[in-house]
Amino acid sequence: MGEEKGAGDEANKKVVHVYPLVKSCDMIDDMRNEAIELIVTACEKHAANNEMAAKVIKDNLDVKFGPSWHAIVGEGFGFNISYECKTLLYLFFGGNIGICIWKC
Amino acid sequence: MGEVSESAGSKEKLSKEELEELFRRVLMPSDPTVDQTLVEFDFRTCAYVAKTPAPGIIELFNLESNVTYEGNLSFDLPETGPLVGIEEENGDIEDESAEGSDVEKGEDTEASDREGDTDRSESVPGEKSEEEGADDGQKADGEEGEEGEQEEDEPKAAAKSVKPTRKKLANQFNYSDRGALTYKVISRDESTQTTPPPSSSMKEQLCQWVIYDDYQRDYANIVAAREKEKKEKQILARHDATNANDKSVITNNDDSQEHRMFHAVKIMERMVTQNTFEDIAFDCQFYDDPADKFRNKEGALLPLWEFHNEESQNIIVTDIKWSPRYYDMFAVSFGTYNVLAYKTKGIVCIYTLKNPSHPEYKFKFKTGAQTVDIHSKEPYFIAIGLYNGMVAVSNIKNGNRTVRLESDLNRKHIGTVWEVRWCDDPRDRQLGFYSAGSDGKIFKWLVQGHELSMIPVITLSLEYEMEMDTRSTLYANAQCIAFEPNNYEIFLVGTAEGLIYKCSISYSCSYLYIYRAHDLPVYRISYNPYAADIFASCSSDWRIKIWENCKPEPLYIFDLYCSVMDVQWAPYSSTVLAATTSDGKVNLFDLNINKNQPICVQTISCPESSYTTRLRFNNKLPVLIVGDSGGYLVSMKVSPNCRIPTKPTKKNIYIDPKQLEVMKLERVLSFVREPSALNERVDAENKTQNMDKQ
Repeated sequence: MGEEKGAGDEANKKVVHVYPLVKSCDMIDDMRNEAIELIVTACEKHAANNEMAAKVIKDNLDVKFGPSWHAIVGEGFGFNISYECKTLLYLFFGGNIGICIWKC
Repeated sequence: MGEVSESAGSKEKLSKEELEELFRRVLMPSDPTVDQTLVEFDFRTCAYVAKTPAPGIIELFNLESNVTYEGNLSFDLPETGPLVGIEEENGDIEDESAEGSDVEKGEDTEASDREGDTDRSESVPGEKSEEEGADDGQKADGEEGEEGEQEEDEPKAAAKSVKPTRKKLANQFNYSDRGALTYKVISRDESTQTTPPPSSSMKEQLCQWVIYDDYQRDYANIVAAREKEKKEKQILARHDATNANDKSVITNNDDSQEHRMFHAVKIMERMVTQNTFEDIAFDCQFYDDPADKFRNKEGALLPLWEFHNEESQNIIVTDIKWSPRYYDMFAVSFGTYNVLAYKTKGIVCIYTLKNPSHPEYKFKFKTGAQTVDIHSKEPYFIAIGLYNGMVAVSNIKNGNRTVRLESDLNRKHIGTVWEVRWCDDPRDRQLGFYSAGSDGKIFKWLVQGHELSMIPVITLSLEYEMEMDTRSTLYANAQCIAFEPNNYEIFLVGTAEGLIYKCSISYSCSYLYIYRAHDLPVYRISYNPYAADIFASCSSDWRIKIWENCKPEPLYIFDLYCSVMDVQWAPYSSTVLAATTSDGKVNLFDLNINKNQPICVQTISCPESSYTTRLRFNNKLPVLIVGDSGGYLVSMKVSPNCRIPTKPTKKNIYIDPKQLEVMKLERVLSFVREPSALNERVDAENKTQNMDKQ
């Protein structure tokens, strides 16, 4: 919610978009849709706590698609990962956070 | 042993006490047979040196173990020769080794016993007795048994050597090694490894402005996509609109295919009709009525093909024109003569003699087609005059896709167009034609691209009405128009008032001449094809009149007792003309033969149902076509009597046949030219005759 306030500040100048913007994804469509939904709910629930959001995402993914998922949630980060093919999803959400999940 | 032998030798007979006396015997480890006091002479010291006895111990086997043997010690000795040999050797060795283990010793004794036996095999039994005597009583039984056995064995040995060798008994001394090696099971560790799931790597740097920029870009893309969709929809809509055009194009292609199909079918039709109407074609070409020879100056008409079409049924044939290029082709217009039949349908058909069953081309109009004309130099242009005052031009050059031009409402005749004529004015660059309408106006139309432009030529006014002091000007009702054959400027206009105006296209107000020709509408004016100053006119006042240029009185008058619908000079003769009358007859005149009566009258159609309207001579064949009010057309061959060729006299053999025709006409006309009163008298006579008849 705090981020939305920040977004509101930006909105004074320019339109801020909060929809999930998938930057790169190689999942199959069903998985991808489910993952996006999961991420959106998690990030909305734990909008102020990225760590918690990441944990929720990871746990849910582990339950749903089998273990050893990894999740990054943050406003700024860099990563260099190797992931199992068809399991990467990298998206922006809420206008200011980036989420990357993958399985390895 | 030595001690035992001592005791036995010393006492021969023993008392009880002696028998019961206990003797302790000690087995000494030293061999009593071995001399303990052997000396040797030592030459070095030159003295005897006591020789130490060789130790009587030979260690054959030494087993340090706790294992004791518990089995049966007794065993059978093999009696084979070689075995004995071996035993002997063993025995020698054992002799030397006096000292051994207890077990060994026991066996040694036995071995030595046997040795003794074998050594002294030839010895006398006395020696045996000595030995017996040496042995004590305890052992005597056993030894005797042994000896007995051995004695028995000796003689048997030779016999037994033949017997198969007994199987060796296995014991700890006599055994054979038999080893078996089992396979060693080699145990191996085996493990498999699956290929790891394919993986790839990715790296990314993320910060706020990257997110922001990406969102902006994505949003822009979305907006662009929406706009594109809108445009596509518009394009699709447009495409749908253009699809109709495409379809039309496609149908055009189909049309072309259909056209080809149509062409093939048409050829088939031609072939069929050629077969069907073969006799007619032969008649047309070759048949000359033999009856003509017996008729005195009378002719006949042989009907050939009939042309009728379902659509043109019961519509009046208003005009017929032969094509100037194709002698078998002609155009027919179907319309109406009814004054109030504004909405009758009109058709223009183009037939050929080759296919009488169906027209080659057909143009339909919502109003009556009153007249038709085919251009002489470009015979695919057809001018059509319509009942509603409009004119149309069709081009049949490109197969079915005929181009049709029609005049518009602003430029039209007010009234029916009664006749159109293509003009061959060399000054015109475009094709042009004249039209005569019932509004008394003559228009010239020029085909300009896809339009018709109109030029008013002349307005025919009724002069004698002017004399009556009325303000309004009445206009003549033009019924027909005819151009002078060799002069494109001069034309005649026949009117419904019975006047014939001779006009020039150069003057739009004045007339060259006015013939007060008939009392009723003039239906047709026809110029003689050989003499341009002679023309015939027909009218509904029952008369055909033959006129000379600018003469107020006609040269000939023929009264046919009913309205004459059409008149035409024959193209093959200067003196032959044909006329149709409303009683369904065709009248053929030859002035050269009969100046008063037609030489041939033939009824074409039943007078009750229909009447003949128009006729037209073919330019090449001696064939004329007659149309009637029922929409039927009949082509007829003119019998030889009606087309007697002009025979040149002996004087003028080399004169052109055309000139001959002109001369013939002149000769005929010369009878009537002067005095003119003669004609009147003839007319008067005719009239009186008519009156009498009626």
